[in-house]
Amino acid sequence: MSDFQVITFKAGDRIFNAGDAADRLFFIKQGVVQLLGADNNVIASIGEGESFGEQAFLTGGIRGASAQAQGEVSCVVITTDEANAILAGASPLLVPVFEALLLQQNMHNALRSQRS
Amino acid sequence: MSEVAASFEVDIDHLHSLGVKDPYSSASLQIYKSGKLNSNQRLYFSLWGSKLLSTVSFDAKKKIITEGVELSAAYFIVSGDLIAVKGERLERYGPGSVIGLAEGLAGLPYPKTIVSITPVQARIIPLTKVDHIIPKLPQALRDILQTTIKRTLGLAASKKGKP
Repeated sequence: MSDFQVITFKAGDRIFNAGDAADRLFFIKQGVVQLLGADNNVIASIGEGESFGEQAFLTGGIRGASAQAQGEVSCVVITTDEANAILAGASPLLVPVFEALLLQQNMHNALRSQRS
Repeated sequence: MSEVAASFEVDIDHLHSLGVKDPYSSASLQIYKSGKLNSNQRLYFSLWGSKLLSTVSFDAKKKIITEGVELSAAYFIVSGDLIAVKGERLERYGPGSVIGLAEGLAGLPYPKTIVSITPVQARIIPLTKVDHIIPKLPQALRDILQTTIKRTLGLAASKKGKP
């Protein structure tokens, strides 16, 4: 972790916006980050020791939500290329495992949204 | 029997309409890289073509998972449809569904019974093998994996010691 870039955000800073290229994932060292939906409604609040932006890991797609610092936030930032190199270096099998896990997360989110 | 309350599938008709007939040809890879696919379609495409996962086929109307069992393998559904049964609730899982991965990595029994309703082709994710890799991962990766599992399952915390 110490080899990765660390970025500090002030309260209210947008970390990324929905529609941005998903080319980095974030691991929170300190503070709380809010994930925001289309109407800037808070979908989730995540804190120290948690990650967000995992879609960037492998898909290289587009952000589906926005992220905003609730207070001062310090994050370790891992680029897609760095993440892929770590995964492939640890075990090539981890790449499809993470891909499948992200797809299962999207699947469960879709199923939950149909329940509510 | 109850009606299907929720369903999930990746829009692979869109993949096919773009000309993606297989996950290996250069034409398919060009479409993959073109930015025309959404996140789920990109994940589907990549898993569809993964050479690290073996393939299994199930006939229609076969019980694939029984509620309450601890799984040794999870499945990525390439084609076909399944029904998940939990009490009176039914859910339909189509192509692109992933069954049992987060539960297996968290060491939890699978909470539903899964039955194929058509012939199904799936990729096998060997949980036992993955379980042996996880302890060797850098802490950062384990933390990210745990966060993703918790978020997938809606859990406050995963089972102690895993991952």
